[in-house]
Amino acid sequence: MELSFLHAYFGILLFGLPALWLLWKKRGDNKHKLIRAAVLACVIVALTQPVLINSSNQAHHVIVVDQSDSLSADAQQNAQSLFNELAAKVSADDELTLVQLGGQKHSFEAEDHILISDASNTSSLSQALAHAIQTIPLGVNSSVTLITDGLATDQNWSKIIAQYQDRGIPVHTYDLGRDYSDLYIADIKAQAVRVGEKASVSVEVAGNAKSVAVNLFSHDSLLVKSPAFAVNGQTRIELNFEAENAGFHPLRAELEVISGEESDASNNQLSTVLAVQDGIKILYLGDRQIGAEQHLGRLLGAGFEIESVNATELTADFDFAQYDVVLQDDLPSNQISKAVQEKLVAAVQNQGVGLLHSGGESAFAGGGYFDTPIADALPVQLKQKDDKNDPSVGLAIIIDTSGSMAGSRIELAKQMARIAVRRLQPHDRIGIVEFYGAKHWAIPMQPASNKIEIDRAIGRMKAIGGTVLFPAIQEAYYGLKNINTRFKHIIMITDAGIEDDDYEGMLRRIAKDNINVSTILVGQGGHNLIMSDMANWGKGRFYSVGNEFNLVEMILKQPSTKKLPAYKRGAFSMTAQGGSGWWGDVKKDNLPQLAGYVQVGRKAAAEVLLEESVGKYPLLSSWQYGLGRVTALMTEPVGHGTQHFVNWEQYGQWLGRIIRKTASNQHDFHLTVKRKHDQLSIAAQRLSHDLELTPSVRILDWDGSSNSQPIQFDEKAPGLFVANLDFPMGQDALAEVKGNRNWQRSALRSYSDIAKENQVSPSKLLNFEKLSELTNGQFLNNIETNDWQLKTKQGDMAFIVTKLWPYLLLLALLLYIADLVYRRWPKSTRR
Amino acid sequence: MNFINLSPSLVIAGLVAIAGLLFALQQLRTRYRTVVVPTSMFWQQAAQDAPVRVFRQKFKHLLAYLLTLLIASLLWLGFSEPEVNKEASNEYYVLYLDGSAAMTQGDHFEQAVSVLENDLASLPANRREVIFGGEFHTKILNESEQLAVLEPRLAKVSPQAVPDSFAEQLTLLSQRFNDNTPVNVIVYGKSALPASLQDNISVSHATSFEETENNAGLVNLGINLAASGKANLIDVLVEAKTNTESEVKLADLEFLVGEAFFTPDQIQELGKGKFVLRDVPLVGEQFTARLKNSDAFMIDDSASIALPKSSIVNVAVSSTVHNSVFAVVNSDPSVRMVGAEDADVVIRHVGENFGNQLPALEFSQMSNQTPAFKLFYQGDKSTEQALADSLHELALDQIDANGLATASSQPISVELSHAATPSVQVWNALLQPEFNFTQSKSYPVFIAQSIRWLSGRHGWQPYLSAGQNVYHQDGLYALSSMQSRFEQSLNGSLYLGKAGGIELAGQRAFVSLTNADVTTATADSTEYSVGSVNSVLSNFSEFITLLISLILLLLIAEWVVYQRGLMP
Repeated sequence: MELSFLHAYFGILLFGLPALWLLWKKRGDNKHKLIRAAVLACVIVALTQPVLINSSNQAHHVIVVDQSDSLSADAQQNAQSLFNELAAKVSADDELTLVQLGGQKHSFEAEDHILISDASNTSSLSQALAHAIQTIPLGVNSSVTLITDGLATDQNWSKIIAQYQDRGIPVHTYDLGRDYSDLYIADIKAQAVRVGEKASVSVEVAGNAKSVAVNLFSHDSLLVKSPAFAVNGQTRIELNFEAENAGFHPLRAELEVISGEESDASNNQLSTVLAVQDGIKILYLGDRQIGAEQHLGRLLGAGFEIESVNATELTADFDFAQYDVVLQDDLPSNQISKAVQEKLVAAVQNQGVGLLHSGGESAFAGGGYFDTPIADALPVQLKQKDDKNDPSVGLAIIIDTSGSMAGSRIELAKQMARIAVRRLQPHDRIGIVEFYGAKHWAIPMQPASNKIEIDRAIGRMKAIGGTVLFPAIQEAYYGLKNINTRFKHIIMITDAGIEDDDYEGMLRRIAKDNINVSTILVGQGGHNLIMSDMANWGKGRFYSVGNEFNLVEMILKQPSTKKLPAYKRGAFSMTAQGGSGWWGDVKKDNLPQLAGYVQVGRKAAAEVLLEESVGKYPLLSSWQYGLGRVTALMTEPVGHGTQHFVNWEQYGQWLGRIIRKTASNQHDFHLTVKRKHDQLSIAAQRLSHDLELTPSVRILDWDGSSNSQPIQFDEKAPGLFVANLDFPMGQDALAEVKGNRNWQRSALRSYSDIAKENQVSPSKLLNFEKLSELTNGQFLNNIETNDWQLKTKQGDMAFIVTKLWPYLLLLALLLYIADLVYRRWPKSTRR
Repeated sequence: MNFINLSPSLVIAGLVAIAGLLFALQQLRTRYRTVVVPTSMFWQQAAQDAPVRVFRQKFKHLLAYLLTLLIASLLWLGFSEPEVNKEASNEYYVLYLDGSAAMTQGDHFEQAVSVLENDLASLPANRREVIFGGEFHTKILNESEQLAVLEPRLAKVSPQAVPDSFAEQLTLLSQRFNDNTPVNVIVYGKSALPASLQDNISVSHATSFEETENNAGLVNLGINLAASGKANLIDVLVEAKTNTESEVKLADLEFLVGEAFFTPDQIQELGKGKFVLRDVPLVGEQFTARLKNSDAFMIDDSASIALPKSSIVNVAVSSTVHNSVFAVVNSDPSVRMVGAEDADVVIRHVGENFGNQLPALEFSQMSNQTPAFKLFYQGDKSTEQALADSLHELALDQIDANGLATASSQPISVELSHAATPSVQVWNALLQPEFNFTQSKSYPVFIAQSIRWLSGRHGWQPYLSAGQNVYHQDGLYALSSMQSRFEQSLNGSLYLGKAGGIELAGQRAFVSLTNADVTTATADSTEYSVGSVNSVLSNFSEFITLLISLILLLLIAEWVVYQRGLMP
């Protein structure tokens, strides 16, 4: 108990009471003065307004009764009856407050009655609980009881639950149950997609019916209709359609009842907004195929934006990341510098850009991509066969085997002959003519394959007879003339002791026939004019071999190597690999023939999705390369190789899938937009590796204009940007965020956080027992009615306050009357 | 005029009775008085002064009667407790005592309380209430409650480290007073007044305060995975602002881990008082950023966050699972591959005899399981609901869901079911390369987050700000972020009240004020309309005090008149 004075300072007036005795002595005896002093004291004390404060066990009970439209008339009546039952259990000393949620104000037996109604036809249970707790002053014994069907129109429980837990006020709950006979659309969700992709809209239908269907509209156009299905409580269906245009699209799902009863058609439709991202942005590099870019655009259709750039104009600071995929079409390596290639590969690896490398003769090895940065990134091994070119030669060796050659000279001659023969290949021709006064084919013109026999024939030669060279030269000439070799040579080996004749005329004639004549002087060393002249006439060379220490190696031909073209032309069958992940709806059988492709090797870690049927050469291969994907198509997407694809109906669709799979799906930011009443919360989590990148966000109107102020983000954590702004509940939120790439869209329909009273999803049902458990309350459905006790939280600031001053004034009145009686009452006196 | 204690008819009856009684008293005969006269010459005077005693005489001394009647009537009226309403209006007063962080400065809160108590005394008790706006909005004086109960309740409240939330209170009031009752909301504090109000609700400030000069404070503190990609390290964002044009420099700040000062190896300065500390070790302790020199407004001078603790999950992987799983598990620095007997979590095929009874990531046949993903969770229905909301993006955007749906003739979906032991079941077919899942960026995240969720190792929150809900990560990261928030709340959304230490998911966490409006608003030069409120209230002087004062004066005056013999 505590005595408190509201204006205690007035108490100082009590010190003036002795003035009654001190100042006025004339009239009134002490008794009278005492009475008067008592009156004045009462009034002075009343002036201080004393109150008596006692702790009280009085409790404050609040009962929240749901009377919203989601309840049937019977349920509302039941709720009222329950309230009356509970109210009867409330002690007369306690306070009772009724918070009525929705409906008309009924005549409840409650001192305090608050009616919560919302013009937007929603009944927020969380708000009702917020009102309930606010009627309870701090520190008072209290309880809250919630009687409802649990169909909460919003899910904003967090703060209110925390408040009840903080104050320790129990929430007892009673579940009125629900009537699911009415059919309605409870929820609709549309995930953002890219233009050209399949949009998927998820629709939740609640109620009971044998056969219903859902029609999905955009404005007044029917996009897709679901097949008929049955609903038993709650069913979710998916509706798919192709997103044709980028931007924001209003969608409306309407329920069509085919078989069953429908009591309320007002909740048979629900709207949302579909955000369709821009199409895949393709950087097209290639100009070998005239008109390829335009043809490609027509082939791929909507969903792709193709931008063509002259590859030679690209520099090392070009930003590839602004594109989703780079399509190289038959682009030779020399048109794209090494620095640019490195930049492109880095963009694929670190920024997730896709690379589709395709083409024929100028792509891959034929395009000069060996040992280039792009070659390392490709999922295929570049291959090109070398063609080693070894031209054939016809050689006629004329050896002087006259007597003058006897001794070391003939041996030197034989050595030289052997050296010449050693370099010959089997496809070359060799013949050896010896002259010793007569001419004789020691070895007739023949292929140089049997070198052992040739060597023996050389070994059998002896120096005998005279020197008659001219006919030997003729013989050799005629022998070479009839053979078909690339090069033809005559080599004369002699000691220059030869007859005079018209060598010049003959040798010049021989040279005219593309037969070179070379001379070798053996034995003497030095220079011999005639031999030298003969070599000149024969367009050959003169050699002087004095001894075995200066034997010469004669190069009669120079083998060369040549690259064989990797691009194969013809008619090639294709075999599809890979599953429906790559192919989707595209039929894998009856693929058209390929008219040309580039032969490449496989890399172990790459997937081969298409291969040439006979040689098993990969035709389409792909792999993940860092953050991005690289795909190689070993033919021209539009060109010679795919000329037969004209009749393939699904070619555009298939090619589009390949590009989509290859393209980057990396965004700079992951955007989340949430709504809570008239507040919009936008969170952008940075996915880009650019640590200084900040998001730009704009909110659009339906006409595409952005009328809101620039949105200020708070970076709450590294790379996590959050903005909160006021935004009308009834307005669709059309948000776009951008880093370095395209605008990325996200949409929230109006009232997205609030359901209409008759369209609450059963999956959002209030968990009665959990609510009671969290607040130490009771779930009354589990307790017999007779045993219901509204358990309270004990407070330490519940008081009974008794105002004392009115009673002091009453006492003062009585004392005053006594004062009057005392001074007026007649006394008997003696005269 | 109304009366609290008595009905008007009783008041009138009482007044009549008092009048009658006093009238009767006025008629009582005069008592004899002995008058001593010196001579007989004064006999006449004596006879005049000492008339013959009668019991009742003619009514005389009207003025005296009226004076006593007035005094008695006022006493009677005082007892009946009259109420005086200006123009008999039904205007209702809501006095809002601002208990947000801005009021922690100096004695601003005490000033507001003093003005509040003053104003309160002038208001009719049944047309006013007082609400304290701190962490929550709490009524501290109900209508019709006596002022006396306010004192002990005020002793229990004080301004808290939480942003102002007056707008929420106004929303509640607009719902409650939707019957056009004129409501006058008076703010005792610094709460910002919202732009648009309901027609019947007017809002005004009752107090003004001195501006705070040169305040600086922490406005953001958050963590994220290290941008360097190094294991067991995080980056910490620290941002501080001032309420002037000047910026907070790095030299103005100091950092602590636990109780010890901490000097990070790498600090990136982003400008405008924003810094990122790179590669901070995961030590599981409290990280604090604070100003080296406190200022007059101290509540925003420091902020804390709990650094996650690096923990290793022991995982056993059956040799029958796809190779890609091994690659992911081996590359995760927070996961250690062990035998089944030592494992916290196992990865296997459904039905495989490997690590039974342990939480498991399992691969199933498409024909045996309708949804592509199936999560068995521990908890109740609200946990399921909250999980479902969080997981709607579970990896599906990374998979060719349509292609898979075509192949399987089934929709790709996530299903949640309750179980004693948590597990995650996923179609084995998803691991085939044709569906891109194993090659997608989300695959390693899916494996990693599944392991963490199954192990019960809770994730961490990027930031915890006072007065806001815990930031809700969705998609794959929702699997392991603060699992117990589902258990502590109805729909997985936890509200953070005032700044300070809290228990979150069984771990110690720290909520920071970090609010730019609080730090920069102290320089707000808005002039508050003090006069208008006082003029409204000044007509309501305390009638009772006046009444009793009048009674006192009349009693004193009457006594003086009586002493002078001017009245009987």
